[in-house]
Amino acid sequence: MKTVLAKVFRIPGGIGATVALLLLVQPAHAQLMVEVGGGVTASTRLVRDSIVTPIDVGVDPGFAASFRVGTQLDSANTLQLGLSLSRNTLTRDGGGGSTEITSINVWFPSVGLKRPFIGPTAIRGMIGALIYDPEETVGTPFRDGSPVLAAAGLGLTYTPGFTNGLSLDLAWDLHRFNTSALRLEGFGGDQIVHRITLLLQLGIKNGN
Amino acid sequence: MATKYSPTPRRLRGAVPVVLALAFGAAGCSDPQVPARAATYQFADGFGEVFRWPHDRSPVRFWVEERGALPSYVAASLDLWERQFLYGEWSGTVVDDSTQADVIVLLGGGTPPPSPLTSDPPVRACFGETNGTVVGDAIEGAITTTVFWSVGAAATDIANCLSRVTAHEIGHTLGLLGHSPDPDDLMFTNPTVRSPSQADKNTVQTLYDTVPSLAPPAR
Ligand SMILES: [Zn+2]
Repeated sequence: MKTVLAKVFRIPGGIGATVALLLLVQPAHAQLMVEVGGGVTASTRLVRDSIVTPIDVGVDPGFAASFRVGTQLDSANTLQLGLSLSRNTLTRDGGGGSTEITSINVWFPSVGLKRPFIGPTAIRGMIGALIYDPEETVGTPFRDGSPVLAAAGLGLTYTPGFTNGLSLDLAWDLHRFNTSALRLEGFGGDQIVHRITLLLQLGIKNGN
Repeated sequence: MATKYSPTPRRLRGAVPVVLALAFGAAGCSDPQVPARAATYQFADGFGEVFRWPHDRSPVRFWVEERGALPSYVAASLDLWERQFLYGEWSGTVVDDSTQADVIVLLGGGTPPPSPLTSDPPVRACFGETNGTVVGDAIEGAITTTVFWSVGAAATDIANCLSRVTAHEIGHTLGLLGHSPDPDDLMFTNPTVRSPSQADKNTVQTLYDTVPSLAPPAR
């Protein structure tokens, strides 16, 4: 098993570093806002191939978790550092059937800006890195390593006044997918991958 | 509560439009080009029968006779073949109980003299055979592979030969029932290379995206 994450972004340390960084950049009188959420994520295909029959390879919809910490920059804008994780199954569809290839974690560390939108909603933009971390790599598109892929996205958070910090968050992000194995195999260009994530999240404010 | 402090608000406010621009720019691109991977040699047997392991039989179970370096040759061969796939179509594993095996791998004759593998030119110091019993539209019982070595040949030549012939025979157990006419391919009748070529890879990938006519042995 290969853990890309260990090289790129150690999670407990990553969250600690995120909070520490925000505390450092946080203005003296600003609030620190934490959002923790859980939900589902779905993604468009990662690979379209055709050997004898058309083959689509992608990650099935799966559980998603998200952690974001932010600091208010002014009356409207909040700077956010986030980390989301989804746990999915890499699946091959084609030849009249669907087969599971391996379990896969998808990590998305990001930095973004959130601001009020219409009524009880807020909108945010984010950029970051998509990291695919499969359980098995041999005989998969990740056999020669998992790349760190640039990603960008938008999110819409709906916070009704009566829910005491609970909100619904709908996010969309996209990235260009490719791996060394696919390039070696002769694939030209990248696959554009869209992901949608729906979260129920809890917001906690800290500071004055 | 809101604060008066605002370090770089103007620059940061541009983040949302930048994200959108990235998104629309990327979304305009078309799907990547798919490589052409036609089979380059016949994978069906002499009767036109096609065999491959269905996905739900992975990992295919191999029992290996514990003699000489045969277990290490088989382990290396399973790894070599597993690496030819992109979408987890096939994998193999070694099991301890021969009665649970899908494939039995044996060493014919005595135990060969020990020798490390070298890059010496290939010498025909061994051969192999793979057999399965077809009953109706299915293989019955475990597939059996046996590799034999030539008494009198140099130990190094025997080791090198057993390594590549084992990989070749394991290729047969995957369902590559024919042979390649190209000596650069592992599935050439008398293999001179140790690992699958691009043609071997194309052929086995094509096989594993083809509907088989033979079912695997029951478990
Ligand atoms: Zn042969």
